[in-house]
Amino acid sequence: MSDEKKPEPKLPPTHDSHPASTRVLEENQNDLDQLRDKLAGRCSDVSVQFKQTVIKTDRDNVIAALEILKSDPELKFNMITDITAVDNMRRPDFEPERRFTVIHTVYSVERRKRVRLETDLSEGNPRIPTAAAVYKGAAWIEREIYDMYGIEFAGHPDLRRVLLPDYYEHFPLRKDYPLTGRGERDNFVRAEEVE
Amino acid sequence: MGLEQMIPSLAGEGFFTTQVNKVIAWARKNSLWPYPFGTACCAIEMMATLNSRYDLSRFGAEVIRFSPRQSDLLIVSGRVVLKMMPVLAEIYQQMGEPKWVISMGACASTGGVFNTYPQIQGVDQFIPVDVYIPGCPPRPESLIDGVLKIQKIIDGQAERGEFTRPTVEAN
Repeated sequence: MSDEKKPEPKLPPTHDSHPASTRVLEENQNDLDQLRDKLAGRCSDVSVQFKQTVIKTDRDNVIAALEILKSDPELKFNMITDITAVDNMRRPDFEPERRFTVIHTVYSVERRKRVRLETDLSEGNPRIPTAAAVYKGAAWIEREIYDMYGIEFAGHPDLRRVLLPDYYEHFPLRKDYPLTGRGERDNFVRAEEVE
Repeated sequence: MGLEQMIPSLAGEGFFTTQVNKVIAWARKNSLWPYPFGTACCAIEMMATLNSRYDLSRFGAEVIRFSPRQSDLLIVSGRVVLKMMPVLAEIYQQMGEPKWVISMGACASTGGVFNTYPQIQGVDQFIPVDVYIPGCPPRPESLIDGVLKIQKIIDGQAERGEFTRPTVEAN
């Protein structure tokens, strides 16, 4: 072992000291302002959460907002990355008016930007207009959400289950559905041996 | 067993006597035609078992058939879910008699770690199983051991149902 002092490990530049980070933040701010401007009246809030741009919208405005995001010549969010949903039932601040949140993630291939649209749905009426009219690829993703959460997509061309069998009665990713199911997995006829 | 023991003067004359059943069982056990019902990672180990390194053909069971009508050994290797269970039952029923079933790995035997709504908690609830192979996934040696146990069942050294389902002691 040598007594030579090891050189100090070179730390990566911190967020604050990195010269590029301020530029990124400025750009972000410009992006947010642009989105607020373009989506005026169609969204209630535009913010950054976990380094992702989040647009809060509602059932009546979500499709109009998606259309703007897709067709606006400056925004150009031309690809639907994913649609997913969240059941907020087990949250401490749960209210039946915000039982489900449907999340559309759209991406601009040209600008390399990504935004997320969040739409809250109530427990009594989990319905949202389909995004398939704007993004064709949304149709199958919405079937999967219907399969797992029972959220209905109004105007969907073919709203059937995708993963579970058609006879299935429940929506298993809802938080009030038990993990082990309600006996569906034990409900088969035994194939007996022929003696 | 045979005539040569009853008549000592016939011993060592270049022939032996036996029963037709035993000859048929001997032929069957050394030419098993497996149907691979591979639905998950256990199927990868099953493929490894069939490859040259482990070489299941040393035990006469290398002729994998993808038609249940041509096979007599069903190897259920992997998870079976709600949608797959009717398919598995139909495949089992399409196999001609006599037939044997290996439940390979934790998932096929007990559901494994997947104690969830679509996962069948052991295929033996719905089809008869002769041999259970533990492991997640089992090593190829375990599958070979399972095939050898099937051979024992075929030639009468072991009873059907002798190899019982693994149980988990409740804490």
